[in-house]
Amino acid sequence: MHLRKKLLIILASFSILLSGCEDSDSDIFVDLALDWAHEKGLLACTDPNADPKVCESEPTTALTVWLAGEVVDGVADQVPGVMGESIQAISDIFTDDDDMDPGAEAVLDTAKVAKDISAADALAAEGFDNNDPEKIQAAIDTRPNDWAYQEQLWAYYAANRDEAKMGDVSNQSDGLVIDHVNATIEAELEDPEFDDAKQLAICKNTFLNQYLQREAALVAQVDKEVQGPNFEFLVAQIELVRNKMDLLNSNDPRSPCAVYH
Amino acid sequence: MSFDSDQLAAEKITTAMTNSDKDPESDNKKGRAGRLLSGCFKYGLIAIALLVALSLILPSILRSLNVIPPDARVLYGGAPDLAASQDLEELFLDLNVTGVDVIVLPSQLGGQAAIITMDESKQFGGLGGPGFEQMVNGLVSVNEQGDYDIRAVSMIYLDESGSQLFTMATDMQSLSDYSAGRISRSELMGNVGLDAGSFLDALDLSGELGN
Repeated sequence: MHLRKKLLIILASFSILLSGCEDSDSDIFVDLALDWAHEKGLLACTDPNADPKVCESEPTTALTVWLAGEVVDGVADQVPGVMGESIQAISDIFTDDDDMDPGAEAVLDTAKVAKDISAADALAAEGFDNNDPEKIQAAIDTRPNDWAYQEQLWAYYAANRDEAKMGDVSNQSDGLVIDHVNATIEAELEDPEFDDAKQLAICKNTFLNQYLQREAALVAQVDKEVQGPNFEFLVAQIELVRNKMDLLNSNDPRSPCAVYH
Repeated sequence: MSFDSDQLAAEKITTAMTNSDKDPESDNKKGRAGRLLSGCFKYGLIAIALLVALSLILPSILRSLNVIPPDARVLYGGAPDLAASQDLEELFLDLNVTGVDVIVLPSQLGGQAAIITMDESKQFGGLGGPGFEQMVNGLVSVNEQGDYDIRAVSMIYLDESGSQLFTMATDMQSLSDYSAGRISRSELMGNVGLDAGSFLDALDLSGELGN
């Protein structure tokens, strides 16, 4: 289907899109969509003096020209002035050629991230319920950079007191955390206000996140293995991870973030 | 003697026949063709290897140059912030909004992103009560009071089958400005990105309109 025809449909059909909502929810989204379309120069009030929030809307001239496909590339040359800029802006919205911050574009693409997390959570829960490390590994494969699932696998091996595998998984989880810290610091270095204190904060927050994930995974195993032979071992692991959290907030050289002090 | 001369003659004939088979021009051509073939093959392999290598590293290069946006799966690949996620879910519960999941993920660009999923299959509803303003105020307030670093917010709307109909995304600064009354809702919407790809795909499948 032609892009322009699609655009007409989306503008015309927002109320259909949200017909599953309660009326009040639907109203909110339709209002948001209309505001968005007005602000992006796609729609305008039929009466130019009317309040955009309540007015009857119609496609802008720029949108009509763009929809007609009469002007496609190099519009600024073909239609000089404000109208040309408006058409270009509309074209940019729908050709991913706008000036949107790359991070903002990525956040717009988070639906697949949420879907991955939902799938990985289901696999990890199944692995936890059935004592099946392969299911937890499948969750790791679904979200390979997410150390939360590594920590769940680590807690599984702790519950089975397989200390060799605990060591392996812990190293992998640490590696992911360190990679994330390094990548974030590298990106933040472009900010002129970025300083040593912020580097330390990134490191501490990321490792704290990892320790909290480990604690949560251990608590779940403890709840499950109250009568189990490794109950004491698991409780001791919880104490250890809490000690690590305390270490993060100290100047102790054993802290993984000591290098940033 | 006669035998020797016959044998010699036979040898001469055989040699002549063998020599006639060995056309020096033909040998040269075969050699060149072989060398050319092996050369082509070699260069072809190198070209293919280069193309494969390029295809592997090109996305990273383009992403580092901001020519193409970073992959959301990489950017938001880290583990969720459990406390921030829970605080935001409680916000929606407090507002009596149901069917909402919230995940706060660290971003490799710095800060965090809140992914708010409104799911019709989980009986999403109730947002009409508190309204958009209260939701935005709550998001800003939780971020500030929890001392979180949420810099981007996306709202994903799923239909009853769990399919994504659209995603809206904006930055926390815009939400904060709107909450504080520094910008209007229309101005806020100017800073909102909208992805309605799945909705459009669904329309294609429904056959509501032809090509």
